[in-house]
Amino acid sequence: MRRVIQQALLLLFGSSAIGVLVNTVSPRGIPYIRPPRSPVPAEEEISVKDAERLWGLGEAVFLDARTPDLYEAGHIPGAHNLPTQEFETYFVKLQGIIGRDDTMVAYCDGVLCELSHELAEKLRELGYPNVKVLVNGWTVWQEAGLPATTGAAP
Amino acid sequence: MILKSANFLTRLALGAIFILAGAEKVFDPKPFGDMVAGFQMLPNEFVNLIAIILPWLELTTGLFLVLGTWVRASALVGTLLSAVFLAAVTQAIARGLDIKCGCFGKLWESGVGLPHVGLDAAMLAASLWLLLKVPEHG
Repeated sequence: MRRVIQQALLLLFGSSAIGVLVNTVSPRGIPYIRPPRSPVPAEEEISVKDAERLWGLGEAVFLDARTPDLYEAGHIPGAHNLPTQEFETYFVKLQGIIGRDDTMVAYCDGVLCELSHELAEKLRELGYPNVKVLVNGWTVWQEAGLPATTGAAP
Repeated sequence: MILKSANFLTRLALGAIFILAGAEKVFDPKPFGDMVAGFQMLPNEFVNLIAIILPWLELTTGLFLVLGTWVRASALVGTLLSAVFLAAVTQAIARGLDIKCGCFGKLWESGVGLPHVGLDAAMLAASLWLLLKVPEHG
C-alpha cells in the first residue's frame, strides 16, 4: 500500500507540475491567484418589488435564464425562456419579440446563480442595454407570494 | 478470468471518462475556473490553481488507467477525485445552486443535477473496486 501511495503522490505532483508549466507557456494561461470577483454593478440588479411593479404594468420583458425543464416546472407568468446555456438557439425565437430599448428582467434561481448575470451580459453585448437581473429570482418571486405558472414555452 | 475481464473493462471505462473529462479542459482553464468558482467550495483565490491542475490530474490518471500502469495508484487518485466531485455536486444541489457542472468542459454543459451524482457515484465505486481488487502487481 505504501508504494501505491507514493505512486499516487507522484501522479499528483507530476500532473501539477505539467499543469503549472503548460499554464505558464500557454497563451490561454490564467493567473494563479484568481482576482476577486467583480461585484455586479448595483444598477444592474432589481429588487423583487420593482420587478413586480414592472411585471404588473407589463413594462418589462421577463427572461427565465434557466433550463427548459425548470422553466416548464414553474416560472413567472409571461416570462420567456431564454436558457443561457443554449442562448443562440433560443434567442432566434425571441429576436422578433423584444425591442432594443425594452426593459428586460433576467432571472434564474439561487443567490449566486450566474445564469441571469451571464444572460444580461450577453444581451448587453448584443446591444440591449436595459437588462436588469432579479437576483435569486425564482425563489424571491415565490417567497413574495407572486403568481407563478407552469408549462413549456409556446 | 471473469474477475480479470471485469478489472480490465472497469479500468478502461474509468480511464476513458477521466481522459475525456481532462482533455476537454486542459488547454482552456478559464471557463473551467469560472465553473469551479460557481461551486463555492473554495476561497476564490484558490480556484484558478485547481482549474490549472485538476484537468491534468484527470488526464494523467485516465491515461495511466487505460495503459494499465500504476493501476492501484491511479485508482487511489481516482477515488479521491470522484469523492470530491460527488461532494461538490451534491452540495451544489443541496444548496440549490443553479450552476453548470463543467465536469466535461463543453461536452456536457447541462446544469448540475442527479445524472452528475450518478456518474460520480459510479466513478467512485469503480475507482474503489480497482483500488481494492486489483492485485498489487497489476
